[in-house]
Amino acid sequence: MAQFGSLNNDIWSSVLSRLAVKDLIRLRCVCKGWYQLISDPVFRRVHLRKGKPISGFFFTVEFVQNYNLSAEVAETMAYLPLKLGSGLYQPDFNFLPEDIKVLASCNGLIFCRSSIVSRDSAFYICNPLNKEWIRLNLNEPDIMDDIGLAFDPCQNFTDSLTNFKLVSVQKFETGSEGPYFQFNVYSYDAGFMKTIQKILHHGGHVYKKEIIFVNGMLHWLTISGEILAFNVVDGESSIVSVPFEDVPADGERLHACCIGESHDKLQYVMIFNNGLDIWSLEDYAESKWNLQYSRSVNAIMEENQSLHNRSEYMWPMIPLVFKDKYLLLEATSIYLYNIETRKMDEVFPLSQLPEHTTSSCSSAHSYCMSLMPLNSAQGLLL
Amino acid sequence: MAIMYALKSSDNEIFEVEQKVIEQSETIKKMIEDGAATGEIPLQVSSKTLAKVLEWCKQRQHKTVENENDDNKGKRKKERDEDDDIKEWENKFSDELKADKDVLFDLLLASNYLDLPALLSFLCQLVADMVAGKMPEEIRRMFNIENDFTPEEEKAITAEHGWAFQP
Repeated sequence: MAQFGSLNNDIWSSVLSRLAVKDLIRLRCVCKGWYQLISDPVFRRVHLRKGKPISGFFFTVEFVQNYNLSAEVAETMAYLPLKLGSGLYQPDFNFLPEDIKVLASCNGLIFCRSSIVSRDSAFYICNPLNKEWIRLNLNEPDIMDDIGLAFDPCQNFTDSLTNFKLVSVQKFETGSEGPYFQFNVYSYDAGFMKTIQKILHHGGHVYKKEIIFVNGMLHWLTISGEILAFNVVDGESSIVSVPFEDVPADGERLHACCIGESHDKLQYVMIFNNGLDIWSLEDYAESKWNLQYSRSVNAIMEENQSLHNRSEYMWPMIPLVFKDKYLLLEATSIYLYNIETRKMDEVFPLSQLPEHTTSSCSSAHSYCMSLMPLNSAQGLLL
Repeated sequence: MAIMYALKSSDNEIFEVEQKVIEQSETIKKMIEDGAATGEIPLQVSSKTLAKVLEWCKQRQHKTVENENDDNKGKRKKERDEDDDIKEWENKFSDELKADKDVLFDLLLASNYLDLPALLSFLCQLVADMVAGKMPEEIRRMFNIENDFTPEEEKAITAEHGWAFQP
């Protein structure tokens, strides 16, 4: 019988790069040749370029426990795995020296900090799949909660994104030309360096929700309904207007919104009193958006009979994060809506939390598992 | 009148093929361009494998020519029907290869040697589909790959990511 093991590495690389991460992890023990191939940073990069399916969502639920005379705020973090050829991988962070809270997630890397906030809080970047981590020397814990993580090893081999970057946005009320935003960029090229990259004059405030990285750009939604876009490669920044011209009239009020990513495009999710719209950004310079998906709340409830009797207190919901075809929403519970199958499922009943509490989801992040090593650039210097 | 070339397999069988069909092979296209393709073109491919390669090339050539001759009228419907036909043909082609792995193996080598990117990509996807979801032992048996790990080494790799071995 044919000795398939003797086929050259190019052929096997082409075969294996078409498989899911779960398959690759298992297939490393077929033979030493495959183990080496799957561990190779160049192979891992090619594999990531072929597709970045979402593996699941992290979300942090904040709850207030009311005692007789005082109230205490506590948080709990949960992970919701999705079945997409990735198996039911449940990332655990036991390899880190302490309990953590996830702050951002990008192409398999996680940015997190100590779950207890104090002056000694530590910050980490890790890949939970490889159990690799580094501790970051960040001295400004105050601004770290709305930081974006940019890591795109699929870009050009020589560009600056082969290593991750962290970008925080800071608002200053007084400047010679009025209020402005400042972007603080932390890169890991030679030690952990902070540079103040670009200043953007603007009057709004950043809305603390998911920060989206797509096509080399980080995006923040502002309270005044605009999107700050920051190009991590060249440091240019711009403001994109959200779609509003076509908002239906007649008392249909925008209730809540969030941004997301699908097919390498920025997405904008709008929840109205009577339905939801999802828009896709086609052109930055002209702020041109295309309507991708639109559904009335009646249709959503018709298609999800099990939720029908709850609709009165469920809708309007608050969108948390949108990735590929999945929209995570919060109402009295946390729900996952699949815009392809149009099914909505309850994924985290807030009633699981301790009694006498009021709770809400404070943040949510999509996670795509990847085998990318923390410093992929080093591997390429072979 | 189509220009014909004579391909000679490693077991000395001659195949008469149209230039357009065989030019899909980057290797042969380059030989033709360099003027090195005079008389019989000797190839390090067995007649059985070469017949299979040509079966693939002719099917693809057929598709390209038909598309060129189409006008837009009714094209959509026709394309849909054709896509179904091609799918059906490809499924049959795949099933034969899955059943006879020696042919699959030879075809992989031949598509690599003749530089037929579309066929190589098709075969790699076929093998990937065969491998997906399988356990390492099944794959070793399926493709005759020797396990060169010691039991201890294998156990260590398995233990690291137990979840990936769950169905």
